[in-house]
Amino acid sequence: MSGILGGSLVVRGSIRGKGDLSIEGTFEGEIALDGTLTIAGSGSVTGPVRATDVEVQGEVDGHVAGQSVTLRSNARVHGDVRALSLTIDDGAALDGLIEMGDPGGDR
Amino acid sequence: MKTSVLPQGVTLEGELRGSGDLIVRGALIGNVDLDGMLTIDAGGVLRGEVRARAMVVRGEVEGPVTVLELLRLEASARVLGDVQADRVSAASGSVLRGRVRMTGADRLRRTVGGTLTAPFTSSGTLEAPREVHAAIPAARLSTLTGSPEQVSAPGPGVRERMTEPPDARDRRPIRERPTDTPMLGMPRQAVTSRALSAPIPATAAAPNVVAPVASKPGGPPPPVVPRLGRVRSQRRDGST
Repeated sequence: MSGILGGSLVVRGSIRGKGDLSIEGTFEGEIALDGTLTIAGSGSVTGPVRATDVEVQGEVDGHVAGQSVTLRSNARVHGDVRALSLTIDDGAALDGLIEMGDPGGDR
Repeated sequence: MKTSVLPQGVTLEGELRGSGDLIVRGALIGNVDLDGMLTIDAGGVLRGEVRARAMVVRGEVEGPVTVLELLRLEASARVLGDVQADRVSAASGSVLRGRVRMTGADRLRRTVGGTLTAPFTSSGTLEAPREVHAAIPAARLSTLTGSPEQVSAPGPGVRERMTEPPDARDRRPIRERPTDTPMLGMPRQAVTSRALSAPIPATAAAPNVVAPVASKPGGPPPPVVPRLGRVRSQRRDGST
């Protein structure tokens, strides 16, 4: 089941659990998801982000971790990225360390 | 505007505000301030202070709820906490524990001139669930529940209603009370045991009471059962 936090929402706190989630609004806090996390073009996340699959189209200020991480062309990430497989589209902006193919790296 | 969804299996702990509609199927722990329709779907949990424009509950809500327009509780809804809304609708089967204030009812009351016959008290509180409990006849309640301790179980509001009204009580010591005048038209035994749990309105209880036969001294002998007598007489005749 897929979830959305819409563009007009401002959320502060932590999100955990199992499922897919798309963030189109503003989120401050920690996200730990067993599923696909999408930070949409209008979305902005401040805090560490971890999910099975992470797709960033918007802005993340914090560490990003996942089995597969995709930074789309409009993505802006300030923080380290750790992923088993990482895709970075042309135009994405990343300011941080990249760690790839680390099987023990769950965080 | 796109509808936001907190899916089943996902827990959001924190604070949420903004506009647009939100459907909670997972768990939302924290305060919510939403200028839009807030839906707590079946299986969804919301715990915290809630403000919304409109709200539909099919799941669980715990916390004070303030709704500007309509609060709708559907049959699977469970709400614990005080509720304020312009209008409240509750489907049969929904559970609500808390003070309810309908701000729309104030407006109604003013225009109708205080002739509202809905179950409101003067403070605008809906008391229907408690009235339902209190409406069970005291005698039936005591047979249903068995003991006075269980009668008070439904809650503090019920306990207040179930206590005996002060003026109905005979305050004299037991020894000084008349021995054969039954209290409130009932046998003494029944009154003292029931007085612990429930008020017996004198007018309502009196016609229903039948004095037990055995309590009359020198009363009629126990009735003879016809069938037994016939069998015995046949045996005396020697026909069997």
